[in-house]
Amino acid sequence: MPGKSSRTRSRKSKKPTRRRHKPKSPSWWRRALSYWWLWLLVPALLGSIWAAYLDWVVRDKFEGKKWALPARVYAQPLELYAGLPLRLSELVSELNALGYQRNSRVTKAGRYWVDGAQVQLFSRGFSFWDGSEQPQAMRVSFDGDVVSALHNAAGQDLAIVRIEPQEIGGIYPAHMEDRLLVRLQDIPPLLGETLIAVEDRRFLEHFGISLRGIARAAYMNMKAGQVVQGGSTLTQQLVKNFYLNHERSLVRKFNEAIMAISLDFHYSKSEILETYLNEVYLGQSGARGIHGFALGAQHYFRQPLRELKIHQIALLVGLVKGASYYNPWRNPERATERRDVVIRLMRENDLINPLEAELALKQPLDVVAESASSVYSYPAFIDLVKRQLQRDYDEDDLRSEGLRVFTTLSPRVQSAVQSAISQRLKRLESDYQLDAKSLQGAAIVTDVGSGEVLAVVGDRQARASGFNRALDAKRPIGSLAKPAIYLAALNDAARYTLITPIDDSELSVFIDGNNIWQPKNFSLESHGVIPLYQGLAQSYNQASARLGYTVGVDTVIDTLHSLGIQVDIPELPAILLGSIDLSPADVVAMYQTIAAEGVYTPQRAIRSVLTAEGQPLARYPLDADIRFDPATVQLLQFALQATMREGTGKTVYRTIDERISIAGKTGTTNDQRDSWFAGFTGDHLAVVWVGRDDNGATPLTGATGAMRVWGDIFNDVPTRSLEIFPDKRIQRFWVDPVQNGLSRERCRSAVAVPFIKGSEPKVTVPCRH
Amino acid sequence: MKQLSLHRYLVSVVIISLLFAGGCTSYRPESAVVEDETAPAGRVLPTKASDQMLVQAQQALSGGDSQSAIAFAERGLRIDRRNSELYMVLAKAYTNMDDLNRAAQFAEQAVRFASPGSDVEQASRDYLSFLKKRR
Repeated sequence: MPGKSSRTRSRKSKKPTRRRHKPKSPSWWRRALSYWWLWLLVPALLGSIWAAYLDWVVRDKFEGKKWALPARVYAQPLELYAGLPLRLSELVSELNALGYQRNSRVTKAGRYWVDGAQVQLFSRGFSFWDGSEQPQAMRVSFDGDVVSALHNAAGQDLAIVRIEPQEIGGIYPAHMEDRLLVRLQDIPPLLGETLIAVEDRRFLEHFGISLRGIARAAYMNMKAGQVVQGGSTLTQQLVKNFYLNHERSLVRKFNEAIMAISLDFHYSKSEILETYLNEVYLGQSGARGIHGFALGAQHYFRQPLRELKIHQIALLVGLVKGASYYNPWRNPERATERRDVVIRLMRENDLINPLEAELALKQPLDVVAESASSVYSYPAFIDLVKRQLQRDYDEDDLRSEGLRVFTTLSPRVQSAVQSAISQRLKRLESDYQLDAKSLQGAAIVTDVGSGEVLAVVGDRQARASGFNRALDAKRPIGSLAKPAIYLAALNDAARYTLITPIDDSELSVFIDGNNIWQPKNFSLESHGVIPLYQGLAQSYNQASARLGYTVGVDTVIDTLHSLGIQVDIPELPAILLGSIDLSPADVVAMYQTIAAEGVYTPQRAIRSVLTAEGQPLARYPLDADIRFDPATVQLLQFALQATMREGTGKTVYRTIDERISIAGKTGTTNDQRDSWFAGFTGDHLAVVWVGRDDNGATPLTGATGAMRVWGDIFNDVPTRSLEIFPDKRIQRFWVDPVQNGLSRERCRSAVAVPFIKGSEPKVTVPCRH
Repeated sequence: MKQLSLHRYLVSVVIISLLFAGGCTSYRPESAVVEDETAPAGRVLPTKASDQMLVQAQQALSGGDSQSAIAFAERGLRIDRRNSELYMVLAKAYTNMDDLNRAAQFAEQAVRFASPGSDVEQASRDYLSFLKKRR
């Protein structure tokens, strides 16, 4: 401390001395000149600081996380095995959607060929959440609507093969940049070589900038009197796209040059080229920017990079100069010219031989149809997936971490459902002379066993991404609620069997002392005493309401909740006939439990989520909560099958093969505002709603509206018959349902009806003829 | 003529006797119980695929990889949703993961879909009892 104070003192003491001996002031410029070295030093120092800052920027971004990667969403993979219900045409559609090439020489991955009732194909292989599927050649044989055999190239039986899944969407960063990262070793050498030949011939020699290139560009531009050529190297282009903006200014150019030198100094040419190949902008798909060659190959050709042919590589490289200007869909001639320039450059640089060049020049552009992009094809399903993901993941992670989301969507079922709704509604409007586009529709299809959601349609118009009616349109469900009444009754096996006589006469129920509820049958006729299952099959309101009231409204509500309905239901008699507002998704939950014989399985739209590196992050496993006695639900399934064979749903067999057993229920609400149908086979459950957005009346019942759509769907989608599993406690008897007694097979009035053992009638009644 | 008539008579007797005998052997007293139907012939069943999944699931389970066992078993159940043995794999895998509630649910499904009187049914029942005791 003493030292410090002494220094302070000495400085203070010198000041007056300096002032006293101050020489005569020279002019200001002489003074400035005397510090000439400062004029060099300060800018050099500032320049160095700026360069050091740019160098830090370059390294920081290059070594850190380079890009915000969107979450990629995949459909379920098609699994091939003998016995799979699948048509040959469906397999071909799937392969076309995946960009497989139809080629009689099925010698490479990504090719297929149809030969009579067989398809030869060479799968690509894929890394799934539970292991990898290797590429392999195989032969798939069909027998009608079923895969009859599956063999490998050596003719040996294959048990099961998974084809890679279609990518059906993404959850993109705010700037909507999309890219598929690819490593340099996975890029076809011809692509890298062509890019260098076309964009920066001296890439391997220069140090980030090319003085020769700049001089040549300056000369050409001066000669032309305008900017006709750029002198940017690939490194500079990368710097411009990766770090800077597209502003045309000297400062930006200066920064670009410094950063390019820095980049070249710190990193290898391979690293720079790999980053360029992933960064470059190659087009636009709606709001989504297509970046990088791997995504470019998918976007334009629906193929992986390694399968691209010479003319396709040439087009992609050509697009680097201006993806919008040379857009092959909007400007095919311009794109072809540019592609051909690239092919000639490939030839000039000896990258291809003359014959290859000649053949490539003769090729068409080969791009897929612009509308073929599956990324925006399934908005209602993606909506469901996003809702599920947003419950479990942070929004930022979804938009930037490159998660891979494997979903349960079946593109072939989805396409059938969308087409059934669009076409059937148009036809209904025409048949009933309704205003065009006055009807709307929604549907959900699930897999019966697993509860996996196979298709979601929320609008009659494909790709419409507005209001998702399948999830959000809450409408009264009408008679779709009735199975809960019958299930509640059958649960009391000592009191009710399927043929217990119930009364369909008119009834009046006092509510709150003053109001009377008097439900009527749709036909306004009463049917006297009927066997219990006929009340459901014929959807009689009076018989069902009386049964529900006898069983107890609260018991029916409990049954609805146990079946999977999660909304609050008021304890009013009107709920017995479906005065409950539910969405198709809510109804699916209820019928899923019925279809799965009393086992509640939550709907699942996602199977698994992986990190960008392929590490499992989350699985969404199968859940099976046994909520009802399976034997009782089987009795209900019988009544729902009777609905389809002889009741309100029987007209479905005008469309569906009558050998396929279906269980289902129609639903119509007051003034026919809503037309519902819920039905299941051995494989599929589908719930369909048809109505108007303004809640107006329609001329449609459940059978003439929604069920027609359902029929169209399963006329298109192969499905297996519902075979009721023979529960050990169930036995079927020939009974006379009217006389409520045992009968014999040969009696014309006899019906085979299942009973829980011991609950069958004890009296044999005479034959009625 | 007489010989021919006798011949005709004998043939008729034999035919009638045969018809009567045939009728007697096929005759059963009519019952109200409905005979079980068998699956339609010629239908290709996906047993090969589900068997393959079962083998892989069991191998994963023996190797201590419960997650893979679950993945294979779920794939198998998507092919054959009433396969008792696949449910048993799920029950055991979830037991290994200390999720006994879920394990019991799948063991119940295994019991339900097992053929009556089969070894699988007995094994599933035993396993379900074991789980109930552990819970």
